[in-house]
Amino acid sequence: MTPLLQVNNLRVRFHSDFGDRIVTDDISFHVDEGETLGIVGESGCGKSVTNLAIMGLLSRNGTVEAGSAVMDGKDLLKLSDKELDKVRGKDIAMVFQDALASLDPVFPVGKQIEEQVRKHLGKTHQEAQQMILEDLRQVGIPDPQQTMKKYPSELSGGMRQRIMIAMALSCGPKLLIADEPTTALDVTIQAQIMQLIRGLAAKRHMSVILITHDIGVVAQNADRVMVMYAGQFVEEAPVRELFRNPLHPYTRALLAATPSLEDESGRELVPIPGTVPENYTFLTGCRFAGRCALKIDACDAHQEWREVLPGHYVRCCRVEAGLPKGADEVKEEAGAGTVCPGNTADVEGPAAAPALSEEKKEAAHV
Amino acid sequence: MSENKFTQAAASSSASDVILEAKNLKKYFPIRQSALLAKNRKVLHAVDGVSFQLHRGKTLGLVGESGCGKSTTGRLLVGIEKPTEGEVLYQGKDLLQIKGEEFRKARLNLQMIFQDPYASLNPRKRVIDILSAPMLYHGLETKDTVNRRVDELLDLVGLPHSAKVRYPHEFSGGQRQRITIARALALKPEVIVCDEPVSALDASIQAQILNLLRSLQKDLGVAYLFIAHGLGAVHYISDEIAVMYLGKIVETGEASDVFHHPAHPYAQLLIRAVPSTNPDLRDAFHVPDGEVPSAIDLPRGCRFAARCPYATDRCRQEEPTLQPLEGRPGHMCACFYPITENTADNNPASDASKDSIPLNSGNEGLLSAMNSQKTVHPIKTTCAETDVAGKEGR
Repeated sequence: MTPLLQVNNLRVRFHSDFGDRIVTDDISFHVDEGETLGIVGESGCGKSVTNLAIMGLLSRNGTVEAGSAVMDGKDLLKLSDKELDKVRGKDIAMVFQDALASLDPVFPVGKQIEEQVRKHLGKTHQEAQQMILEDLRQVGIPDPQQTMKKYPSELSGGMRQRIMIAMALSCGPKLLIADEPTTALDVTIQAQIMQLIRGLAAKRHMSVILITHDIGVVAQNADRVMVMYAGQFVEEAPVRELFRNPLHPYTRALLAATPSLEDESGRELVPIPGTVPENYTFLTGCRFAGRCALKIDACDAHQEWREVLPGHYVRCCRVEAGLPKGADEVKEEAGAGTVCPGNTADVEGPAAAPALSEEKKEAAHV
Repeated sequence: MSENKFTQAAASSSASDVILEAKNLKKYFPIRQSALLAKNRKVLHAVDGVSFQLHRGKTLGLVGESGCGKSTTGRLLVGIEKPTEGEVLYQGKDLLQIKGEEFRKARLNLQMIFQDPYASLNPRKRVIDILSAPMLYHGLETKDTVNRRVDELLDLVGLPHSAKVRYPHEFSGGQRQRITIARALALKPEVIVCDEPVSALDASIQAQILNLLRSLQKDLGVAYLFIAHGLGAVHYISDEIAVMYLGKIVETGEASDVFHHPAHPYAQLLIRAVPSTNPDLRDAFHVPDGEVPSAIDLPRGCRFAARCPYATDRCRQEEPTLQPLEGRPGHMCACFYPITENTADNNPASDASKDSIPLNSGNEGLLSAMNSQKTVHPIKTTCAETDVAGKEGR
C-alpha cells in the first residue's frame, strides 16, 4: 500500500546575517491513511519547520535544499504556489498552536470558514452556510448559529481552537497537520480537544500528523511516534513499543526527565545535562553525543537510520544490531546488554534510562 | 473555614513550623465600564477567601487552570498586590499592618521567581549587578564583600563564575531561570513564591531546574509556594497540594494523597485530564465538555456545579466550605459529596447522584452498568476503575 504522504531526505536551510544554517536534515517519513503520526521533540528541534516546508510555508529566508514530499503522485515541494493553493486547506489542512493569531480578528469566524469552503468546493453562500453549521456542530460548539457571527476575540481559547479545527475539516482533508494544537490550552480543555481530533479522525478515516513537545499527548493520541532531536529523527516506533522499549538514549533521557503523575513518590527526575547544540550545521556525528552518557568514539561518525526491530527505527550506533525479532524477547535479553549496553536495562519504565545525573556537568556548558 | 480546622488538619506539624499564613485572602479587581453602567459596578473575583499555611522547609503546590487566581494569590503573599480583604501573617505578624523598617525586614524573607526568565531580568544589567543590587540595597553586604557572595550564589545554582560579567541575553532559558533563582536566594529568604518557574522550559531543562529547587530546599531550608499548571512538576516537588477553582481552594492535603485519591470532583477531573505517558491508559477517562465560567458573574452555590457530573440541587443552592475529610488526616475538601472509598450505604450522595449517571460516558458508563447490581456509588466506580488501570499500566 502506498502511503498517503511520503517524505524523503528533506533538508531545510535557513539564511541569516550570521551565516547559513541547516535546520532539518535527512528527514524521511511517511503517513499512512487513517493513521495518527506523532512527532515529538523539544522546542527548536525542527518539528514545525519540517511541516511548514512540506506545505510550502517557510519564511523567506528558508529554502528546501533537497528532498521530496509525495502525495497522490505529486511532489508537493515542486508545485507552484498556485498549484499548492489547491492542496493547502483542501487535501492537507493545518491547525496551529495559537488560534487567536491564526484567525483574522476583523471578520466573524463563520465568514472565515465560508471563504475557504467557497473557494475550494465552489459552494454558494447558502450551501456553505449549511455546511459550516454542520461542521461547527461536529466540533462541539454549543450554539453554532450564534457562534458563526462572533469575532475571535469573543470566544474562549478552547472555542477558538474548535473553530480552527472546524475550518481545517471543512473541506474534508485527507491529512490534518496539528502543530502543538493544545499547548496554549488548559489541561482539561486539552483533553477535550484531543478527544475531538481523535474522534473526528477515526470517523472520517483521516490521517493526522500530531506535532507536540508533550510526550503524554503523544502517548495518548498517536499510533506511531517519531522522536526528533536537533533537526533529525532519532527514533521511530509504534506508540506502545516506543514507551515500553525506548532505545535511543535521547528518548530514554527525555522519559526519565519528565515528571509523571503515575510516579511513585520519591522517584528522582534525571535531567539531561547540557543543552541542545546551538548550531549543528557542521556536526557530522550523533547530535546528542555531547549530552549522552553512552558516548563512544564511533558516535562522532555519521549515524545510520536503521531498523533494529520490526517497525522500530533508531539513529544510534550504541543500539546493537541484529536484535531478536519480538519485543518480548528483547525485554528478557535487555538485561544481558543487548540494548544500549552500559545500562541497567529495565525496559519497563522510563526510570531505567541512562544514568546521566551528574548535574554539575552541565555547568561546564555555559 | 475556621482556622483551627486547618491546624487540626495539618496536625503533623506544630504551630512553630508555620512560617507564612494566608487568612481568608480576597482580591477583587474592578471591571472598567462605560459611565452609563457605572452604578452597578462589576468586579472580578480573582481570589475569593483563600487560607493556607506554609511550613518551614516545605513546599505547597498551588494548582488550577488559568484564571483560577493562583498567580494572584502568590502576588498577594509577597505584597505585589494588596488584598481587598484578609491577612498575610509572617511569623504571626500581619504584613499589611506593619510599616517602614519592620516591613522592609519582613519582606526580605519573601522572594519570588517568575515564569518568564526573559521578561524578569533587566537586559541592560550584567548578572553581577542583578545579583548584588538587592544585597547592597538591604545592606547585607558591602561593595567589597558582595563579589564573594555573588560567586557563592552562582555556585549554588550551578553557573560558572564567568557568568558574572555577562548580560541576560547571553544565556539560554534554563540558565536565565538559574539567575532568577540566584537573585531570589540572594537575601537568604525563608519563603520563595515560585510562579510557574518551569512552564516556559523544555522537558529536559525543566528537570534540571526542579532538581535544583529541590536540592536548594534541602540545603537551605527555604519554603516554597509552587504555583504551576503543569501537574507533573507540582507532583514531583510538593509536600502539600492546594487545588484552586475560580478563586477558591477546593481541595488541599498531602501531595500524593490528593493526586492519587482526589476527593473533589474538580480535582479528579483536573488530575485525570493530564495525559499519561502510558499508551495503555488511552481512553481510560472521558473528559466531559464545559469550560471554566467567568469570575465576574459567579454562579450561585458551588462554583463547579455547572460542570460537575455529580451535582445536586443542594450544590446549586449552597456553597460548600473547606471541611476536613473523615478518616483522612490533613486532607480537606470543599464538596458536599466528596469522592470516597466507601460504598453507597455510607454515602449521602448516592441517591442524588444516581440521577446524574447518564452524564458518564464511554468506559465509565459501561463500568457503572457492570457494577449496577452492587449499587456502588458511581464516583467510587470510576475511581476504582482508574486505580486498576493505573496498576496494570505500571
